[in-house]
Amino acid sequence: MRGHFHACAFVRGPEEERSIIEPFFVEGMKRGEKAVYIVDPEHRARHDEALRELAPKDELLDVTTWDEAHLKGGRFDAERMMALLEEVITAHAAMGNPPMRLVGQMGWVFSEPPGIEDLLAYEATVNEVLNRGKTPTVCVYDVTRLRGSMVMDLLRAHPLTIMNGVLHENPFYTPAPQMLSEIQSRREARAS
Amino acid sequence: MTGSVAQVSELQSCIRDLLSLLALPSLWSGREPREVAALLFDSLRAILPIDFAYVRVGQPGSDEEVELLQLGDRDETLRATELLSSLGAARTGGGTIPDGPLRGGHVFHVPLGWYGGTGELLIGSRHPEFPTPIHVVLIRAASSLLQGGIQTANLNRASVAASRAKDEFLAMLGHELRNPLSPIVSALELLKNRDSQSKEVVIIERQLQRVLNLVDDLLDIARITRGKVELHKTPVELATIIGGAVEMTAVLIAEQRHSFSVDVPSSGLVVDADPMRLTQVVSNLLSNAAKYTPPGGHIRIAAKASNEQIDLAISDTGVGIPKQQLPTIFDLFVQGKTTIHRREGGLGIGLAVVKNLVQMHGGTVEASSEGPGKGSEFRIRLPRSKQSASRPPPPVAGLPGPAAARHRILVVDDNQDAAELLTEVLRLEGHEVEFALDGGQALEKLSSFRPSVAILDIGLPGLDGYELADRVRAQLAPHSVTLIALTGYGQAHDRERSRRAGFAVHLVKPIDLRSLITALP
Repeated sequence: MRGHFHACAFVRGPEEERSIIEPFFVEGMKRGEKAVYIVDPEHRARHDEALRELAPKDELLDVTTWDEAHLKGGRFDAERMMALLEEVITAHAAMGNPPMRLVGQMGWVFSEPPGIEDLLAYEATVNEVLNRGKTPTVCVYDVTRLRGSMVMDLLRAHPLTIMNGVLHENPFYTPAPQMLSEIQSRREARAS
Repeated sequence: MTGSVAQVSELQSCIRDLLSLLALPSLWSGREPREVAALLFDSLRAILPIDFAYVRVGQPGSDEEVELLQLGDRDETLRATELLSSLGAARTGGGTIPDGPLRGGHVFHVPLGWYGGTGELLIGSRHPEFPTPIHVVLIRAASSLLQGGIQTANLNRASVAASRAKDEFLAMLGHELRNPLSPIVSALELLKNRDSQSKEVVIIERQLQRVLNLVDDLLDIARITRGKVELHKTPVELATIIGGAVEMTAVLIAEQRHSFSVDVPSSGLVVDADPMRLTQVVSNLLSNAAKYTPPGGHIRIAAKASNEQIDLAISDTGVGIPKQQLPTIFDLFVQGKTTIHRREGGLGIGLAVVKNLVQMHGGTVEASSEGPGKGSEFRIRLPRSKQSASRPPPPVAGLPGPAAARHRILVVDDNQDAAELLTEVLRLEGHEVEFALDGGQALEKLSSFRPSVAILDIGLPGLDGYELADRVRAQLAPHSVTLIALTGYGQAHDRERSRRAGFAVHLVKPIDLRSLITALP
């Protein structure tokens, strides 16, 4: 995967998501890699039960919610979220553990919480954090609810995408500094 | 060199955006043609400096066109005539736009279809350099995707319409099949009264039950796929459901000499379920296990609970399921090459009904098997109820004995066989019975025969059962009459309509004669 650890998965519903995420986690857990799943709070118990059956050891699985991660404090704070990721990844590695595997459901974006305007910048910049920590991470979006422009922006920001269950590499993805510059230009254009 | 670096960078961005455009077809699923166009325009605005987008495309086999005009991200299709005319010659011939909100800008025109006969795509921009070669590449790629996307949307629409037509047909077929089954059921009751031990009667009864089950399955799947099944949920112990299902399949399991084990707690596993429908699910799976296990096999039901869900597994030592069939085993009308359904008969509906009903209860169902000859397991997961189970209903009464009271009964059904046979059955029960074949005949009969009970087919020609009910009551007044409805429709709104029309009882064809006899006052 040429040094990239951050993929964006476009899925059509929970069954397709499960078909992608389960093998990803199970493969990792069999190698002793912790699985961290950030999910919709409404379905946390269901995801936990389903994956716990497949976990070789309980401590290899951590199912948490986006209220405790992306939307802690009731808003999306990109910097806080990146700092949290960096802290968790570093602490985990410091204990001599193999890198964890992270999956984050992104359904919360459709509620348009405060701070949502920083999502794209976050998606672009978090690549650096995940590459440094060599932490395979998948952000899961329900493609049936996405606008075309958001799909285009997400595709540009991710070096790896999963579409129709297939992993694609985008060698010309937009590096974070260029993406941030484009976002800034758009904001200035809208303001004028 | 700087120029070259800039060009290389621009080309790389173009390739990146082209790859992104190529990913868009994954968004088309389930979309209408106009939505596809809107999605594409929205995507183009993310990568190109466009201010205006317009598409007009004919629909194959139809006079309808897909048309969408967006100014920025605003839908201005209603102003299409005005805005398009403001483009002037720039619309197709180049040059700057002379008038309107895009005055001074440029248009890139792409004919769609053979010789532009199908339609056109127009992309307009006030950007001074529009359209550059890069812009042209991306717009041409987008136009191909747009045509493909609209075609996909049209095919989806046709597929949905065909599926709806199929569901309507199934529903009609089920109802039409029910009508002739009613007199057959009545005739069989009469035959059994004369000679219940006859081999022919036993065979007819068994095969008739199979036909009834097939018709019920057909009607069920037609109702489920049209969203017409209503669940009446109540907290119920899983053990109660399993008990009911085992009772329904006990004879089949015993006939096949299977051994049977149940590992289900008698209490503490409560689900919010429609008891009848969930029992149907479990009995379908038990019935399959019994049918697809060679005689002398073993069937097991086991259930356990966690905090949030209940896990129910039905396993057997039967013929198993080939791996390649597992992904489609719950699909409608699936007939595997090993004819897992065909060998035992059936339409391939039962498992589709199971899956739909389980999903309607908020659960999931999976099938697994090690392969042919190695048995199967069906696992259902259901959300656990947070409430205690409701009190179970009183046990169903046993078969009725001879009528406690003798009634004068009028039977009205336009199916002569059904009317005559039902009349005969009721006479054997000791009642005085007359029949009529339509509303007019029934009303004439009332002048010489005053019934205390009137059994009316709802679907009568001319005067239907509801109107006839009104006339019968009026004609017999002040004497009261108990009205019983016979109909092929048994949904809640059908029963409510019967109740409002004054019917005391609503029976669905083919009627269970025991239920009818029990329903008599």
